[in-house]
Amino acid sequence: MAFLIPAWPLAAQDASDEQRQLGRVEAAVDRGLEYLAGHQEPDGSFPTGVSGKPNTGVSALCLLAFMGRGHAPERGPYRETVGRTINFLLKSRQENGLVVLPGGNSHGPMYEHALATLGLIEASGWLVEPEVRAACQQAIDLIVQAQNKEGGWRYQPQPNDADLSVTVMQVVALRAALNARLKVPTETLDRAVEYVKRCAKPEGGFAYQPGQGVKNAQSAAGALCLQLLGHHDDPAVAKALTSLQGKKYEHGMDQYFHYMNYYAMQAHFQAGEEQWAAWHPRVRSLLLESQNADGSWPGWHEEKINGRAKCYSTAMATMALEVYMHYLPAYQR
Amino acid sequence: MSELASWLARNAGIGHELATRIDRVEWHWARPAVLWIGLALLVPLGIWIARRHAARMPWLSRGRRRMLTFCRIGVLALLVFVLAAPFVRLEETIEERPVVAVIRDNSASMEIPVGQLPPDAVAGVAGAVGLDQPPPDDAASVTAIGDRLADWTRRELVDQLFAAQAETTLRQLSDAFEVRAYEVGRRPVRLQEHGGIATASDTGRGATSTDSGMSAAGVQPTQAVGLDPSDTALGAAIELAMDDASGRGLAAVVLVSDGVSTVGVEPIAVLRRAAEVNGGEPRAPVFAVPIGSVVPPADVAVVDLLVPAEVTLDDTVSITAAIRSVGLSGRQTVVELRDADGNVLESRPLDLADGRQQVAFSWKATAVGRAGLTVAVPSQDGEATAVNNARDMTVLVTTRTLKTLVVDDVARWDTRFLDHAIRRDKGFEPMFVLASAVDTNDAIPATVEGWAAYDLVLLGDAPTRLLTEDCQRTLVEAVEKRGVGVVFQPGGSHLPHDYQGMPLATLFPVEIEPPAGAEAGVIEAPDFEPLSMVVTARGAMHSAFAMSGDAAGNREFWSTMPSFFRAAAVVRPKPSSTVLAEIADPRGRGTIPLVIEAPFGRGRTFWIGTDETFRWRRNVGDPVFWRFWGQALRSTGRRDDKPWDTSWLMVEPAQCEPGSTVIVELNLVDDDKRPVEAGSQPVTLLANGESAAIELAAAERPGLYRGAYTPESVGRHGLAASSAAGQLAADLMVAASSRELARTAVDRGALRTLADLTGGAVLEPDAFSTLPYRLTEATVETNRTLEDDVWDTWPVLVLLVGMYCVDIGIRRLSGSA
Repeated sequence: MAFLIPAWPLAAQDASDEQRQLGRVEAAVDRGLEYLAGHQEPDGSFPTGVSGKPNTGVSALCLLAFMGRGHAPERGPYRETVGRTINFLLKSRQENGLVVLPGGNSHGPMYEHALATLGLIEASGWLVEPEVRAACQQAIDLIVQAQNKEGGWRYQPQPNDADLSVTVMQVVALRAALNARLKVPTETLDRAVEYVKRCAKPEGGFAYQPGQGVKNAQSAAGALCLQLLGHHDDPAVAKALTSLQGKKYEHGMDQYFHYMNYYAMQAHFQAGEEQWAAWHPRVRSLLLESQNADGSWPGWHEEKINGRAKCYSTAMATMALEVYMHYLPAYQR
Repeated sequence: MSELASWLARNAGIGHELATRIDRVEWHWARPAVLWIGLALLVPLGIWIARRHAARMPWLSRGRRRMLTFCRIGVLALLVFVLAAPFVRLEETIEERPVVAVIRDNSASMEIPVGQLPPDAVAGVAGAVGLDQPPPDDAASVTAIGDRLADWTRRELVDQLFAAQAETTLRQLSDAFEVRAYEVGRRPVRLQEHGGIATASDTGRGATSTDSGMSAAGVQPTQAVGLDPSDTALGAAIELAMDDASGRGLAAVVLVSDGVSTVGVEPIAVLRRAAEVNGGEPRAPVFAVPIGSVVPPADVAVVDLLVPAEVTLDDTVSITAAIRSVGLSGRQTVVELRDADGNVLESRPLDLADGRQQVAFSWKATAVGRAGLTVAVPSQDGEATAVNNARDMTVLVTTRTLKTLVVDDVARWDTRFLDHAIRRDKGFEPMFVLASAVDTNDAIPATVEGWAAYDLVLLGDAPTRLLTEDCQRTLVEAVEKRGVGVVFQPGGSHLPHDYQGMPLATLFPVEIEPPAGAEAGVIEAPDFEPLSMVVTARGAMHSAFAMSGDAAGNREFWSTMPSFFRAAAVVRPKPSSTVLAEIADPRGRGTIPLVIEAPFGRGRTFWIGTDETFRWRRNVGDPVFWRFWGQALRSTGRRDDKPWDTSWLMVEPAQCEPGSTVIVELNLVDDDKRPVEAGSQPVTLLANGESAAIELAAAERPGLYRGAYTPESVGRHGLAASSAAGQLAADLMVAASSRELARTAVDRGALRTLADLTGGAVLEPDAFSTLPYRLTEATVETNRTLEDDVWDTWPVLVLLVGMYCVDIGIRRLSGSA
């Protein structure tokens, strides 16, 4: 069983090993954030290898990493860092609501858009300006419009194709929108559930697209999708998590390890104490051991996304560890 | 003769201490020159007076004339006496031996077996407690004696240690020092206060003691009368010993304990404070004698439970138990949730691992009333104690459902978390209105009836656009006359400063700062010095901050919540408000109220001056966050069981630990439902077959009376009061804490820290005999002078007045002027 309550009144003097581990996690996260703050560009974005231009997706991940540690806009030591990134995201909006800088993106704008939307929605809890909420609603409306007939999403903001990898990011953004009481059609959510379920495999786990084979990253993404859409008890969730737990946990277990790791950590947290206890110690152990001396994390197979600085991998690892802190509203259980 | 002199001196007005030692005092004159000159002048003056009387009053009889002359000369003599200012002086030299304070832990944890000592320590300890020392090379004997010692309880080990050292170590100590003995449980006690010096008993463990050394040291082997062993207040014991020795040399504090302090001020804090007062130097070295094996005894304990204090009927809530085990790693057991009848409601398998583990249960409230629940772990083979294997709790199940309106500007993080949590709790029917999501304020009630449809209104950073003056006016009336509760959680963009001078401000339980620029409404902390909430003593008793039955524990728990960066700018609480938590003003202006509650007419208001309570989720999630919010909302919402127009008696919280203060509230109305007004009202208390009276003082509104009560014994405490409608009653359940046995290992680290901080040492029992040689025997000589005036005493005054009266009487009788 996991122990998550280190500071009950009667336990104040009990410096258990778990508490020490939580202290290590906080220290690692803080060093990661220092690294990110030191690599922020003057325009508020963070460097990435995805394209030659500033990338709203990676920048939004970095923003979420700061907010996941409780560094809110307009308060605290990282107020300017956080504020600059929010401004960067707001300035990157296109007329149709797409939060992606025009031109040049190697991986599909809907990835970036969903992450940027999530970042803006979480930040909107601290910003009272009406244009922030309007931007969030417009971004959500775009996601709603881009859903294809199967219920999923693909790289481009047109409802043509779909895959689970892009879909999970849209689902997280939609869930955050519901938390923020933005308008999200129920039908969109219902259709998303249908699509995700179609990606589930009978043997356990999820595929990138219906009919394909199981991938670890997609198993994590699929389980989280169903959980965030309210289907916690769907058998596909438990089977996907069991499938993940049966694998040897190492950074080579998926081509997109950080991506998988982040969603797997969230999915296990959403699944309750027993699943969480079975998963989080290995994540914590690996991330605490693999942090570089400068506070960053290696990109491993995703080094190409990192580019000249390790902002992507550091933000992803930091956010995985921030699950312990329970600060980001979008991920509350 | 001496006694007579002493009696006379005492009756003459000399101070008691001087009078009792009158044979050693010396007579002195403050102005001897005045004495001699006065006496010298008195002779010719007396002759002159006598002659003058003889010449001018020849018709007087000789006797009267002499008496008149005597009085005149007597008055002048007294004048000389007074002007010369005689006084008595006592000079003495006092030799004071330094004090050695011996504090003996006699709490419940001292009943835990000593445990297996390391083989190389057995011989030394055996010798120290009076057993035959086994030869070091005789492994069988070492094992046998080790096993024998392992079975002793810690208390028995101390008994035997003191008994065996009575004629040696303790005698040496009492010869060279003034030994003061204390015992400590939930509170420290001076042994002398309880008949003190007792005969050392034979515990039947092999070493028979004599009483002489123990008596000399004032250290008794049995538990002091009235000692409550349910906790260990080591800090308070050290503080008491140091206070008792104030003004005296304190050679050492000897702490015989397992090192676990469970209640009250921390020992380290006491020592630091004493050092600060002592110019930075330790007040006295602490010599710690750890009792118990270095190997922690095998044990599993239910150390914490996280349970909502109140739930709604048919609601399913999470009950989280923290299990702590040591020395049982790898064993499989089950953790059970049982009802009051002992029926197992749910059981969870648990693979024991050293340290703390968490087990979560789901429990559905199926009947209204107080539900008794127990979380228990079966006793394990070889466990040191099974007393800590179960823990009880009570949950209040009600049918109360609070219809709640939440109004805010945007969905702030606190609002988003609250949104989820409040929907899970069947005790609430929430409705959310966000200014940023609506174009009109149609969703906001405009009439008193509209507001009164809600039991509770939570106003976040609502703009005045949404909450017009008319809306505010009707809300104020709904609170005042219909008992609606309002919780404010300002955000600084609108609330509170936009409402200054508007109707809503009358509901604020605080005075707010006038607007001044862009930062109006909020106080911002420096980036690296965030604000920290400190719960007040009253807050620790309030249901919003209830966590356990121990108010001090509640205060400590909530005061260590993560810090934050912004708070509402308020000046002071309004007169009828109660500050439950506060922060230090980063501008250096004292403290700022942060969490405040106040009555307003028939309703209540509650103020949470920060929108960063989401930080309380750190590493925990909802349990602590919703614990506060749920309890705060429930305490503020309109209560059908506490209407203003009926008589009721309640105690809050309804369960606590001994020594923890609770609040008793009485609402009294007459037959016509008019408040009964008086300065105070009595409440009868029945506990353990004895009755007593508590006087409740008139509170902030007519008919309401409030007072505090601190139960000292466990069990049911019944409270009763009379009203026009009949007898009112309320129950308080007092249960001992489980802290004392939550940790069974000896905390040598804590004892080492105390010793290191003060230049003392940790003395294992086999080194106890070295204690007298480690202490400095510096006897302190103090010269003392006591003085007291003799001239301004009542006999001098009587003499003077008497002679003057005789003088006047003779003159009147003889017809002269």
